[in-house]
Amino acid sequence: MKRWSYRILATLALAAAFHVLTVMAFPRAIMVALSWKGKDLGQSSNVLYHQPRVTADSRVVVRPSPDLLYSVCAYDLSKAPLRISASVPDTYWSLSFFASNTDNFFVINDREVQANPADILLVGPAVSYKNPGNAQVVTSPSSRGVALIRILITDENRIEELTKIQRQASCSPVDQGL
Amino acid sequence: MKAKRLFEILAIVLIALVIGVGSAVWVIDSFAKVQTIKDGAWTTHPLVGSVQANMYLRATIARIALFALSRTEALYYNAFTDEEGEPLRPECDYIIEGGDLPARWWSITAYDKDHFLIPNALNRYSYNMKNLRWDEQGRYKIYLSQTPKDLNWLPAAQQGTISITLRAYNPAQALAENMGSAELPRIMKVRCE
Repeated sequence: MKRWSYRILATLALAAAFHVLTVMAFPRAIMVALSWKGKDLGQSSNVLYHQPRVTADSRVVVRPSPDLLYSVCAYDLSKAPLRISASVPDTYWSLSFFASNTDNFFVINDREVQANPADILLVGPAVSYKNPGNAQVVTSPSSRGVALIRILITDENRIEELTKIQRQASCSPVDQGL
Repeated sequence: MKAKRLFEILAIVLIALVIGVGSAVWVIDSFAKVQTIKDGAWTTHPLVGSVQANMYLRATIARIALFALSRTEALYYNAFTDEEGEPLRPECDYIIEGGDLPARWWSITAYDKDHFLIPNALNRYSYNMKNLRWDEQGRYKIYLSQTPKDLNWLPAAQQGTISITLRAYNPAQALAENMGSAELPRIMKVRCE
């Protein structure tokens, strides 16, 4: 009887550990799965990809908004900081950063940007860096993550114009020469 | 004897793995429907997208709202049921009735059971404050249905279940601080086939 109690207790304790590990690892696993999907599509880190308008055929990221244009840059700051430059339209626009555990640790919108084009230098945790210009410096809590630009489509007739503005944005590593 | 012991250990690990991972997946899926703020059919959580989110909320957001912004930038309300608490079913017609919200911009979008947009011939997936047809009292009605309607028709899925997300970008400070203070639209079932 005692031996069965130990077995049941061991099973439950191990189950609790697997439960916690699964829940904690889930967001990171989703980010890794997304990066694999990106690689399957021939996409690289530290490059901004401008997504076409979302439709029912868009099946990479769940619950997308069909009223927004998205640009995505999966970043890796382990070797160099990343500079993001983006033209800001006269409609809702935002640039947001998500850490490797999916936390939204930074967001800035069209009403908050200090300049147009927006100029942001994203640096890794606890690294020294040189700011190549007057870029606003943001520190990521993880070396890997995702930068996401959203542009609101306020009017169907403006899609072409907003798409042009969307495509002027870029993200690229900054050679530090340290 | 050694083989028997090894088998016992393997059995314990396997059973624990099934229980642990299975319960984690179940909790992640269920957590979306029991978030802390509930207003009619709508649920949300003040820590969506926040670095202060606990592990369950973070996992749930990764599952159903990846890349959600924190509440100072955008609010997300999800509805998986109607006002009566019944799951949203594609064979039923619903009216989503409401008024303006204190935000710079807001929209209402329908999703299928997989959390993706619902395919339809019109490519009509959402309505927002700009493209809705409003009545003279400053109210609107959105018709969520498989059957076409003349005004504000949001096509429903052909099968499975439906859910709805209300997004409010750049919400008024009072709303961001008290997410339950808005008058959210009501989701009323009209009829089922």
